Amino acid sequence: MRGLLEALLDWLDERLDLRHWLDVAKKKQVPVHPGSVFYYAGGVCVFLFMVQLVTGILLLMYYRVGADSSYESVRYISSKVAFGWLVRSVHSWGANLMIFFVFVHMFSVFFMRAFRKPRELTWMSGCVLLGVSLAFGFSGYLLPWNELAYFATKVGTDIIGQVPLAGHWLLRLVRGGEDVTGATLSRFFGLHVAVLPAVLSLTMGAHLGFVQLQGMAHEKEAKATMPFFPNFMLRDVMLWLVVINAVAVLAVFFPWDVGKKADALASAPAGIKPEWYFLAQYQFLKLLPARILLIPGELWGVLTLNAVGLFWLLTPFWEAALPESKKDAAVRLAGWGSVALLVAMTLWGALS
Amino acid sequence: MNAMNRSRLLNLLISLGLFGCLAATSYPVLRYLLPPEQVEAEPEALKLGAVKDFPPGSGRIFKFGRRPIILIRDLKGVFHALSAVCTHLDCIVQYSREHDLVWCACHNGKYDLSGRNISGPPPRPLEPFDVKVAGDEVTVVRKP
Amino acid sequence: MKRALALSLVLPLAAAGRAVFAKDQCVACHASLEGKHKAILRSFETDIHRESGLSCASCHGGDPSKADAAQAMSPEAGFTPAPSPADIPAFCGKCHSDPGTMKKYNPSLPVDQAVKYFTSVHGQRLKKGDDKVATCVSCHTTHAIRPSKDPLSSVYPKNIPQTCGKCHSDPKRMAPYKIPSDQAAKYVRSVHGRALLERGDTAAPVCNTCHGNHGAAPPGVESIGRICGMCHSQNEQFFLSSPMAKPWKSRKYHICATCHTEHGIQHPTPELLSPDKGLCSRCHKPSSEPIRDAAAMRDKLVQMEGAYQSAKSAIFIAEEKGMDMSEARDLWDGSRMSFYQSRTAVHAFRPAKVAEIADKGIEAAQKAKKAADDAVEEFRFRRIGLGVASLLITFLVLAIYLKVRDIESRPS
Repeated sequence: MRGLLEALLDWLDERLDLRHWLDVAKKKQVPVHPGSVFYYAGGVCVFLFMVQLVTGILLLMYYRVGADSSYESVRYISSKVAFGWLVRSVHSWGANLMIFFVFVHMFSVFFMRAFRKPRELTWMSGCVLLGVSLAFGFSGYLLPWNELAYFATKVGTDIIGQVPLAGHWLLRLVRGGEDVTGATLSRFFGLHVAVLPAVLSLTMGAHLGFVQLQGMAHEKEAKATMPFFPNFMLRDVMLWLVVINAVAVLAVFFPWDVGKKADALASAPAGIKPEWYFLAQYQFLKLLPARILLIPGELWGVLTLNAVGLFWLLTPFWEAALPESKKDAAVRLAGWGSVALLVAMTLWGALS
Repeated sequence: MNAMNRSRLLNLLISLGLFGCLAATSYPVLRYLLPPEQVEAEPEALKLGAVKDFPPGSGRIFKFGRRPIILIRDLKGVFHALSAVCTHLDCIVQYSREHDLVWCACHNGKYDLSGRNISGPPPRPLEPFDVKVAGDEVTVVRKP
Repeated sequence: MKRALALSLVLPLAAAGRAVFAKDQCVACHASLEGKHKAILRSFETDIHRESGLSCASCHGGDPSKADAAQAMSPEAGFTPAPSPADIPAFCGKCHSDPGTMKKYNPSLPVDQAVKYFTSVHGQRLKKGDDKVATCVSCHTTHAIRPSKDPLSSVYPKNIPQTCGKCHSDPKRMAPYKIPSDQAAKYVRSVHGRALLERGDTAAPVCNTCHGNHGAAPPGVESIGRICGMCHSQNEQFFLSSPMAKPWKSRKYHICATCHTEHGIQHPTPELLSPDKGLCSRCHKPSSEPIRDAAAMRDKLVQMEGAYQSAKSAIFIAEEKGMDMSEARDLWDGSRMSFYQSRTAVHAFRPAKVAEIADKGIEAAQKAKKAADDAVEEFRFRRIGLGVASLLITFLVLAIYLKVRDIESRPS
C-alpha cells in the first residue's frame, strides 16, 4: 500500500512539482490562542457547501422544475424515492446551518480584526460569499413550489419594486414577469443550480487562495502554533463529523414538510414569514411607517439596508481611517451592535 | 503498548471508522439513485390502452396521478374523460350506458358527458380532461 | 336564473313603479301611523311585488291618489281590506292563477298553485270552513314576500322547517287535528336536517321536497319509496328486487319509513340488522332464515366498518409521526365507496350481494392499513438508522481524537 502511494507521488511530482507543494503544506502553522477555536468556522462553511453540492446534485436527479411538476417531484422525492426524505431534509437543514456558520465565521473574523491590511480582499470576497449564500437560500426556498415558498417569495420580491427608477424593471427581471409564476421558478432554478454554484466556487476559490497566500492574521504574535497537517486538519474533520451528525439528527427528528402546493389565487396564509436569516430585515421593513418626508417608508428601508451592507463591506477602509485611540471602541461597537441588533430583530420577527 | 503499536492501532481504528461512515453514507446514496417502481412523479398524460379495449357504451375508472378519473366511450364511439369524484359528497361516479350519461349512485346525481351537472344534488360540474387517440393508443391529458 | 329574467323584464316597470310609489298616498299616510300600519311599509320595502313595480293598490284596490282615508279606501274605489283566510287563495290567485298576468312579470313562474293548494289537506279543510289552516300568507308572509331562492325568504330551504313549524310544531294547534307536533324537531336532528342546516347542502330534502309545495299532503304508502328513491334510487331498486317487496306491498307497509322513520332519519348502523335488538325481529321469528340472513349481513358490515376504522386510525397515527400518508389515504378512499355501496346493497336482503361488495372494500382498507403500518415501521427504521450512523460517526470521532492526542503527546 505504502509503496503504491509513493510511486503515485513520484509520478505526480515529476510532472507537477508535487513534493514541493506538499512540503509547503507540511510547514503550515495555525496560531493557537483563546479565539482560535473560531478558526474552524470557515472550514465548516466549506464542508457544508460540499454537503449542499452533493445533496443538491442528488435532488437534481429527480427534481423537475415547472409550476406543474416542481411540487409533485418534491413530494415524490420525499415519499417514494428510497432515502429521498433524508436527502431532501439534509439539503434543507444543511442550508440553514451553512448560513448560520457563515455568520459565525464572519463575526469571528470581524472581532479578530482579520479584515485589516493586507486582508481587505479576503474580507470583501467574504462579504460577497455571504451575499451569494443568502441568494442560494432565497432562490432554493422557492423550488418546492409550496404555499409557504410562494408567498415568502412574493413578499420578498415585492420590496424590489420599491427601488427608485429601476424598481419596476428590476422586479420584472427578478420575477421573470409581473408576478411570481412558473417563469420565476425557472429563473430561480437556473440561478440556484448553475449561476450561484459557479459564482460561489470561483469566489470561494479566490477567498481560500488569499488565505493560503497570506496566512492567518495573528501568526506572528501568537505564542503557540499548531501544524495544519495533521493536527488542525484532524480537528477540522472531527468537527465536520459532528456537524454532519447534527444535520442527520435534525433531518430525522424534524423532517422538512412538503406543505401545500402553491396556489396563486389563494389568499396568503396568516403569519407568513421569510426564513430566519431574512427575519431581521423583514421586521425592520415592517416597522417603517408608510411615508417619511414624502418618500415611501419601504424605499427608506431598502436604501438603509443597502447602506448598512456597503458600510460592512468597506470595514477595512473606514476602520483604517479612524485614529488609533478610537479603533478599538469603534470595532466593538459596530460588531456587538450588529450582533445585538440582528439577534433582537430576528427574535422580534420570529415572535410577532 | 509502545508508541509504534499504539499509532498503528489508532490508524486501524480510524480506517475502520472511516470505512463504516463511508458505508453508512454510500448505502442511502446508492439506494436513492436506483429509481423506485413508480417511475413518473405525477403524469401530465396517462396512456390507458388500446382503442379496442374500450367498446362504445363503456366507462372505466383509472388513477390519473392521485385522482380517480373516468374514461367513457359513448354510444357514438366518442371518448370523454372526466374527474370521477362527484362534486356533491365525493362518491365515485359511473357511466350509465342506459342513459348515455354519468351517474352518481349515492344520491342519484347526473352529469352529461362534458361533465355538466344536469340533475340531482351535485352543485358543480366534473373537471374535464382531454382524450387523445394516436393510432391505436388512448391517452388522457390534463386540460391546459 | 328565473329571478334574473324577472328583474330584467321588470326593471323599467320598477323604475316607473318607484316614481309612482313616492307619490302613493297609501304609503304617505301609513308612514305617519304607528304600530302594524307602519310596520307593513317596512316589510314591503324588500317584497318581490314592490320590486316588480306593484304597490298597495295593485292587490288591495282603492285609490292611491287620494289623501283622505275614507276616499282612498272606499269600496267604490275597489278597495279590499285584508282578506279573510278563506278568501286568500282567490285574492292572490287574482294574478298568480292568471297566465296572461304572470307572463308580464315572470313567464316561467307556474300558475297552478291555487289548483294544487285545493288538493292539499290545507286547501280541502279550508273549503270545508276551517279557517285555522295554512293559506298563501301563512308560508309566504303577507307583505315581506321573497322568491324561494332568496336566503332571507320564509320559503328558502333552510327556513322551511321554521315556517312549517310555526303551526306544525305547536302541540296546541295540532291537537284538534290529532297530528303529532315533533316532526320539525326530529327533522332538525336528522341526517337531512343536519346536511341542510349545519352543512348548508341545499340539495338535502326539506318539508316541501317530500310533501310538495302547494299540494302539501302526507305521502301515501305507495309513494314514500318513490319519493325517497328520487335521490336514493339504488336503495329503492334493490328493495323492489328483494324478497321483501311483494309481501310489504300486499301488507301496505311504507317502504323506507317503516325501518328508517320519516322525519328523524339517522345514519343507519349495522345494529338495525341485529338478530335480537334489530328491526327484523319485529316481524320475523328468531332463528328463521331471514333473521340469519340479517345477522350475516350485519356481521359483514361490522367487519367492513372495522377494517375501515382501523385503517383510519392507523393512518392518523402515521400522520401524527409526520409520515406522508397521501398514498394510504387514496387506498382508504377507495374502500369508502365499498363502504357506502355495501350498506346500500343491504336493501336487496341477500347476504351474498353484500359480501361481494364489502369484501372488496375490506381488502382496500386492509391495504391502506398496511401502508400506514409500513410508514410507522419506516419511521422506526429511520430512528434506528440514525442511531447506527451516529454510533459509527461517534466511533470515528473518538478514534481521531485519540490519534490527535497521540500525535500531540509525542515530542516533535
